[in-house]
Amino acid sequence: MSRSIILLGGPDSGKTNYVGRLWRALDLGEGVLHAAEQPENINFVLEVADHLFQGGFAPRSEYSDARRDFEVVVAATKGGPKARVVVPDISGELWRNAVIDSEIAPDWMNELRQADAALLFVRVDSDQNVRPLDWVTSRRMLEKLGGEEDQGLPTQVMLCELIRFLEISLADREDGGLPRLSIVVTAWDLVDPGTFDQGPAAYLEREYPLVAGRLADLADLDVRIFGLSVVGGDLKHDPDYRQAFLEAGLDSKGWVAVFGENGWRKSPDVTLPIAWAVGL
Amino acid sequence: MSGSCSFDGCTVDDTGICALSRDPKSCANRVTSEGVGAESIDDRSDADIESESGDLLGAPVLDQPVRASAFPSSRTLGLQELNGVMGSRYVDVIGILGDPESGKTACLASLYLLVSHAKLTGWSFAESKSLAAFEEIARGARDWNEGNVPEQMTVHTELADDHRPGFLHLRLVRLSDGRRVDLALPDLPGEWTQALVNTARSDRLDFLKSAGAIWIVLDGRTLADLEKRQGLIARLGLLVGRLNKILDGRAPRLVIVVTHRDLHVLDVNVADRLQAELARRGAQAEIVGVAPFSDHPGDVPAGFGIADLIDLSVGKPAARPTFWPSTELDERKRAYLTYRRS
Repeated sequence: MSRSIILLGGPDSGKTNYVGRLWRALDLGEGVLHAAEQPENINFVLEVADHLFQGGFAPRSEYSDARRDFEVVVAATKGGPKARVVVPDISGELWRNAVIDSEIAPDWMNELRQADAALLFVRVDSDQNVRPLDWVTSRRMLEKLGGEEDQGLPTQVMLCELIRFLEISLADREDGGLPRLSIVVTAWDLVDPGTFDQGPAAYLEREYPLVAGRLADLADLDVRIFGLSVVGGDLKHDPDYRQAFLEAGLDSKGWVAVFGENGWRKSPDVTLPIAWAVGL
Repeated sequence: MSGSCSFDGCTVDDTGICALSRDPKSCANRVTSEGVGAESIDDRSDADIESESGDLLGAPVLDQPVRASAFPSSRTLGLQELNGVMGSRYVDVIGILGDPESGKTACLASLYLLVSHAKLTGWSFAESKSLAAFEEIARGARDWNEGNVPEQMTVHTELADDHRPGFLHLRLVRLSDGRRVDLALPDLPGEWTQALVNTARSDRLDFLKSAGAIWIVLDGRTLADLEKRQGLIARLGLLVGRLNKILDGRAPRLVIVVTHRDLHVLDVNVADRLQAELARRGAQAEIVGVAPFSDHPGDVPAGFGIADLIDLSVGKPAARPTFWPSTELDERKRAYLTYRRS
């Protein structure tokens, strides 16, 4: 059986890096999900993984126009039920344009209609984040004073619209359940311990009140929120960590923040957001 | 434009005669294009021209349009779409009336900004079916098409640049009791209110009959101006009179919204006169001072009073006549029981 899982998010939200890291975890087979067969075409994930192996992040997908799918058959237990997961990697720019024009290429629309789960990415402290308008800017725009630089669509509005698209288009699960949506807050290693303990949901509430409100009001999607760190630290600005990372290797690094009995904790299994979405 | 002339539609190249009856040799349009040193057709070799036309021959005239699948838009809702929403849940329709420039749009923009910064006291955001329209309003991008006041409510349209009046949808959660409230806020041109007062044109405002609350937005600067305030108060009375006729016995909550609270605090005297004018028309209203934007953010923060406005609009249901009134029992009037006893 084949199910498609959609990865969405604005530009620079961490989708591609997650796919690269995910592939390593699936291949290694120590997480909840593992790759049941070796996929035929792993060009794309290998490329991304190579960047990670070298202690860097993959460049933003905006620079590659071609659509790159990663297709893998996964299973939760050896010999247990399998699911073919197609993870299309789409540039964040495409999603942003989809929101602005309220339309999308027909093959992506088909992809959305066939999928019964999605992962929505939001990155902490991304320079691509657009703050909502404030009163001063808005007033100048209303009075047509000019000279205001239009920053574009605020990130939270884009995320709300993406959630609306998913709500409209995702198919129900085969077991009759609601389509699942994993909200993945990436670069979760950047937040301070206090924020970590409050969890990514509280973070969304503070940074993106519209998104948090929308998620709380969703009736047509099953939502779970995860914090994610693909490599467990900051490879760009923290040379010590980068050194340690290169020496220890990718496989032991990276974690997902999940909610357990004693509050939020780090789990080394980065397949969790997708495992829950697939729901084997 | 022909090859040797910068004027659009020039006929000299085809017929040798200028349609504007000018002399081709001295015409300003013609002279400039040659003066710049543009290559005239005569100078080019035949081979150049042939290869050019050879490239174009058989090529498609227009680019093939890119096909795209559309999602339902999140612009303003038309009456029909609003009906659809109202069919599935209770929606508080709010009528917003007021003269042009009184601050109706500013109130909506400020409400949206408060919600998107989680600063609307006592409320939090849950959903909006018209986020794109709210964004447009906050960016001042919703001009009635170059000053031409639209004649009717929005009809559902896919045109991206079409700004027609319509409803903004906003679902809020009241923090005190978790109640979800769906608001439908119309974004209407002030000219419609003027037309209602001046010529009783009310067909476009029929939706007011299902409104749970009506905001009448008054410009606080005008009310503070000794010379202008009387006229505005009189017009308010006339507007309420017109409303009474439209509403025909229905009594939605009336809220008088006085804008520019940051510059002028409403005088008690003026408030009394407003109330007196309303009472003359048999109406009751609350008066709220708001400052959608603020010139003195230290004293009056931007968005001042908007939360009160929402509280008032959905807070308590309007007073209705008792459904089954109980009357005092009067022994003498129980005619049936006392039949033939007296």
